[in-house]
Amino acid sequence: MPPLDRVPLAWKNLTHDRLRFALFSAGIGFAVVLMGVQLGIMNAMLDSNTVLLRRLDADLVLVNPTRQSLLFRQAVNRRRAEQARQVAGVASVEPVYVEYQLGLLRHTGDRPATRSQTRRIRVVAVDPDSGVLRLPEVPAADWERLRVPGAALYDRKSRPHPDPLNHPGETVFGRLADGVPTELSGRAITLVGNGFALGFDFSTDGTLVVSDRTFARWVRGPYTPPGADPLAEIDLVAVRLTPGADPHRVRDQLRAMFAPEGDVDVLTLAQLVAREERFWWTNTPIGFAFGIGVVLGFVVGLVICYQILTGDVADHAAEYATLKAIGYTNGYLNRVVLQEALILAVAGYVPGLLVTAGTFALLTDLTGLPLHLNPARAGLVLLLTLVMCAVSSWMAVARVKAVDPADVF
Amino acid sequence: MRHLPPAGSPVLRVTDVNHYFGTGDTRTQVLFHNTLEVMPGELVIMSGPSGSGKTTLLTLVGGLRTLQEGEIEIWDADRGEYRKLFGASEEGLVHVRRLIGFIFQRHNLFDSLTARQNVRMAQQLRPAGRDPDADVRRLLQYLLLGDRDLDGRPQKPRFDYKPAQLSGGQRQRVAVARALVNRPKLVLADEPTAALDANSGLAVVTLLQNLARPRSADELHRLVRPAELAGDNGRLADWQLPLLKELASETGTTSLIVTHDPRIMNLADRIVHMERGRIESNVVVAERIFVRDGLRQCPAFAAILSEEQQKIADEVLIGVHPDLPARPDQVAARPGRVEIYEPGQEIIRAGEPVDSRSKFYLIRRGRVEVWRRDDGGVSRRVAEIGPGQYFGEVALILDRPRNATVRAIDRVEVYTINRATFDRYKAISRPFVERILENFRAEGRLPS
Repeated sequence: MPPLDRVPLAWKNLTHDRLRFALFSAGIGFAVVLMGVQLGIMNAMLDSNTVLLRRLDADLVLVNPTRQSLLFRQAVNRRRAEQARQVAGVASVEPVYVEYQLGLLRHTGDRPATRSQTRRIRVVAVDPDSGVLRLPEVPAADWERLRVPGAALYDRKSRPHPDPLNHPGETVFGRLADGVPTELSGRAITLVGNGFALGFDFSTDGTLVVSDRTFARWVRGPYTPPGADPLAEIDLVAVRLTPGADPHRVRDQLRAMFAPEGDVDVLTLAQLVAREERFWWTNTPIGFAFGIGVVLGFVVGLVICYQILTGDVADHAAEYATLKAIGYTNGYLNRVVLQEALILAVAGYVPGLLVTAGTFALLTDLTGLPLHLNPARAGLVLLLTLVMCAVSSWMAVARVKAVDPADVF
Repeated sequence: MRHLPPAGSPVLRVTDVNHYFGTGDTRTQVLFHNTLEVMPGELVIMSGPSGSGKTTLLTLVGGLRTLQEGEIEIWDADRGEYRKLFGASEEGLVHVRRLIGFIFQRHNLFDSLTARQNVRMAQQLRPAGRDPDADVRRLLQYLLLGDRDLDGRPQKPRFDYKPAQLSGGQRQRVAVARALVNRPKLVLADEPTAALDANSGLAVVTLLQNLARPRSADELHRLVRPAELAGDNGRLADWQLPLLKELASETGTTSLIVTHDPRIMNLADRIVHMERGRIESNVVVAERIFVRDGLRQCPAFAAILSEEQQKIADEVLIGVHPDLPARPDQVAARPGRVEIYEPGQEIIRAGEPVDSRSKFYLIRRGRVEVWRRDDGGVSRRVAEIGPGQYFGEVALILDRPRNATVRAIDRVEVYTINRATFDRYKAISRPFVERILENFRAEGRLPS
């Protein structure tokens, strides 16, 4: 009998009672939401810590090999950037400065009583003409305005004020808007433009983007010995390749060039992002805490699915015994249980994913965490759901095996 | 291509089967040395009180339990060979189960599937025929679940009804269809008609009968009768007969049925009675009738009660249809009941004295010739007799030496009744015997 002509027993068994099927699906959907949200928050944590890196317009990045995270200070000497520029296939080399420690932003509020203390802010500096930082919210005119020393682009997705009722629309740094005067590391600056949207993370409440010249004078200069170049040590060197250049070949050439000193690592942007994520994954409880959350969701779903499947086997014990008696194998019945598990997985996944997407939107709105449901993450949740249901069906198979065909008489 | 077993060979052979439940101290024997052969096309009724082991034996035959001791062989019509169940792997048992149609007392249909789908669950175990769905519909139609009722009036077909929408009897008929859809050569059934009304029950039993062997058109037409004539025996509709012919186009199906339904009991070809785990009797109904009718002709047994005649008959039966030759092993399994003689061999000789070992003979198969000396001492062939006829009674009645020689013409099988049994009933029938003796004297065969 052709497969399509066969009686779809698993589907019929599950959908015979629609209300029960809906409840079953809701049970699996609950597990999907648990896993999806936990995964979402975990990814948001990692995303928020790597969002700056992902905004770089670079084919390759030169970093100090000992710098496991952007948080740290180890940098690449400007000389190395110049050397890289000489390599065939390299179109441009743009320095990117990132400062976590020295950038202190004064609260923008007018009334002292409403001000919080001066707060640490991440400062990113680039050449405004370079286009190395992709901030689609920032028009070219704003980049122009950045050339003026003391001008700064601000992050409108900075950490919101903890008391939004009394401070609507304010960040922890106060009101951030075009033309607002304030101080960066004790010197007057002016916020320009309509702001960009990078968001906050574990290590920073917000970001200012300034020109490299402003950076040199406002941030690094005061801490640089007289006569030394405050821009000599570059945090990230963004390398762009000429059209048609083979990134692997160029990377290998750069690596070969820097190998004797060993003070520069050449990474693709994806590798750099992965390295940053690995740091946060292994050096903070993010991975563990939310990983446990995912595992709990998986286990809850496993138990729910197992209960549904064993309940189904128990409810149909006489019928399954009859099938065995008339010549069906344990293998067939196992496949029926597996099919039921996979149907439940999909039936629970679809509404579960919709609820997860809604929860993501709600959480993003409430917390500012960048929860994104991209196809890869939705696919991962689907895979986890399928595995969860398949494992529970594998566990339920023992019940099928225990059904005795002799019981039918 | 589906094969029947070689002529004279059974479709099912159960040999010295013992079975135990429990282990260690709680191990209890429930079947004791059960031996049974069932021939192709037989309708076998298993009777016996509850707990006598019928169901256990049925589950062993069906490959639903592991055989512990003894052997069960089932004819595999697909492969044309016997499948042995002792030591069979799970895969082997599954194969055997597919050879069998099971009808259970509880229908055990899937609530989630329609009547048609429940039947197709069994159908899809075998390679699909030309139009499998049409066959299912035909079967359900015949079993009164289609668009016509018994009187030919239109009704809503139940093909796509789920069990919850069907009555108990309708569900049972779906289960019957599921068991028969693959036309198994062996059907195991537990009270298949218990939940059925008379008409449905008759439809099921008639189908089983016709799957066993073709019935004459007259025989079938007699079942198409008005309700007032049918009574509790049920009736068929005339539109069911062509369907029946199509459904039972291939015969040779053997049914093993546990039932207390007298309507089925009367149709049995073989009745196996079990008591306390043992097969107490295994009677081929045709053989019993054959022997009983043969005995009725003999004056020594003619005047006794019919129950007594049956008791004597049952003492010589070997469980083989009289149309079939008895194999030596079948004869040896029930010693003292049937003797086999080769052509030309003397069975009794004139002048032999009668003693405690002398017997009465009823011919089962083959023909014999009777030779008697005339007054001049010349031996003459006085008669040739065949199946259902008897000899050897005169010497036992008169307690005199044999007055004739009886010799086998071809291979002859005879039932034998020993002298002790013969004398016991001769005493009961004395007045009748006396009348016979007077006849003998009048004919001059005896001195007055």
